[in-house]
Amino acid sequence: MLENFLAATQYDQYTHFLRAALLFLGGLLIAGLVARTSARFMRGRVHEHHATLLRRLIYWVILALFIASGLRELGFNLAVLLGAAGVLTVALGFASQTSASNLISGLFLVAEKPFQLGDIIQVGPTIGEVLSIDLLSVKLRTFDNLFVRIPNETLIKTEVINLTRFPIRRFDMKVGVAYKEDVDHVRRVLEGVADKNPLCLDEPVPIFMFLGFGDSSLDIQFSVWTQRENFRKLRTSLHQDVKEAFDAENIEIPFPHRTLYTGAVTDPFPIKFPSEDSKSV
Amino acid sequence: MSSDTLATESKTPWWHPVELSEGQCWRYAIGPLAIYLQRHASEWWLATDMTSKAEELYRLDSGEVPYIPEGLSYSRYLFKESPSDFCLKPRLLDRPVVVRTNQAVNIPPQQSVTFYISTPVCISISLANGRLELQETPVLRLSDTWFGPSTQIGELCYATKTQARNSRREVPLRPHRAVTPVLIHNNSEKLLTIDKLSLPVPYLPVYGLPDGTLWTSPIELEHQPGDALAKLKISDQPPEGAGKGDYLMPAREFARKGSLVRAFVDILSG
Repeated sequence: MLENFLAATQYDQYTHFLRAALLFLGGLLIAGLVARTSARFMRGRVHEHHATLLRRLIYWVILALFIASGLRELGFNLAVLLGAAGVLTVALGFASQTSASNLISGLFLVAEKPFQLGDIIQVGPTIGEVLSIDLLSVKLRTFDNLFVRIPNETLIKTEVINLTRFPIRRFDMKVGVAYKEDVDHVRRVLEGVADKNPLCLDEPVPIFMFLGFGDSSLDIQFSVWTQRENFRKLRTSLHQDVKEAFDAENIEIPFPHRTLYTGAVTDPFPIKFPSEDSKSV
Repeated sequence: MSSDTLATESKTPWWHPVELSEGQCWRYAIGPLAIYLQRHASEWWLATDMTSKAEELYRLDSGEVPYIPEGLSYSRYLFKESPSDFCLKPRLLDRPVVVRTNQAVNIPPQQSVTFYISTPVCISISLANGRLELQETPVLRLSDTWFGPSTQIGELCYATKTQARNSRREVPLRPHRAVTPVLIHNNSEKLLTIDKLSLPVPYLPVYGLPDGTLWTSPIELEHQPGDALAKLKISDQPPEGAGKGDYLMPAREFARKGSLVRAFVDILSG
């Protein structure tokens, strides 16, 4: 009799254990399946960045429900567990202020949408493509193929430059020419360079600015617009074109000059010619 | 190149198919672009070259050459058995072209005028009677430009300049440019000044006339009183002098209602 009872109890325990295991496994499978299906459904309808967040939310909510059912099957009292979790949360809250701050910053970032997946952003010295926007951090891939994780709190606090928000960008080329050069001629040459370079947009028209009188040169800024994808190509080709055009037109790009005085403006520097010295000896 | 037609030495327009035997290499020069095609038993080689020499900008040559010039990189297309013919076809550019007139053009009130504006084409290079496209390459790299009210809203276009000729006879015969007749009605009471036009070339089909010139469907612009913008209509009729048999290439894009409204808005300035 007792043996039968024990066997039945053991059998009952095994069944519970088996059910719980099935619930865990089933949860993993179903959560994955539903998340993937919803992602497929959302493709093209919702923005990629929101679709990713929703997919993850769906996955974790379904999985949590299955895990909770599995735990109940194993005999855990969820009310007690959740109560304990509440107390634990308060304790953890103090210990994880940074994470909480990042989490809230993440929610602000999602709502504010300063950038999206695939955008190129600059945060401090780091420039990279946004790989993912998560609740705690944003992951970037830099152009030298490094993975950079930036906490959301940092993004909320510091300046973030989105380099790909607008379809066209302006490139400001700074160049100095010698004091003897005719500024109008330099302007015509630069405008000719922009006209010939197919990457320079005709409109908005390139801007020529005479910035002022530098230490060794007349300082000029020449700003041209380009399609954002062509920005780096334009930077290289424009510098090269300007150098070639200046060489062809004999426009001098001066190196820094330094004039030395001997203390009195009128007194010249004493000059010695070694060859003459050797003759006199 | 003869003065009244644009035919190659074989007197056929350049968009007709050409058959090559194995090992044969052919060169086509259309405006600044030269195309080399060589057929082998199981592959085709394709190379392109661009010239900037002023005297070669309007050329049209076709003929057999011994081989693809050295130093020119070529693409290989592999087949079980290589098709015997290739075909070049003109297609209009993939973005609208903003055409700036050399001098501002004024149209008095209640006047209608037709301008003939040409834009360079892309060449679609295909095999097997046009069924297998290998590559598409523009005959001329036009400068980019931005057409829109601000640097945030607008459209990336190509830029070119035009003489804004208003007589068909004055239009020069150029093998690599397609001419679009633009009919402008000024229905307002004020002088209409045009210094640039945006031609929605992706929406225009191309026709090849027997004289070797390329034409697109005409477009019509209507400037109403009190309206800063003009209404645009793309004609579904072939250009003057072209029959249905001269239809060469369909438009890249089909105008949806929304997109055309945007084109109306962008079409005129000044």
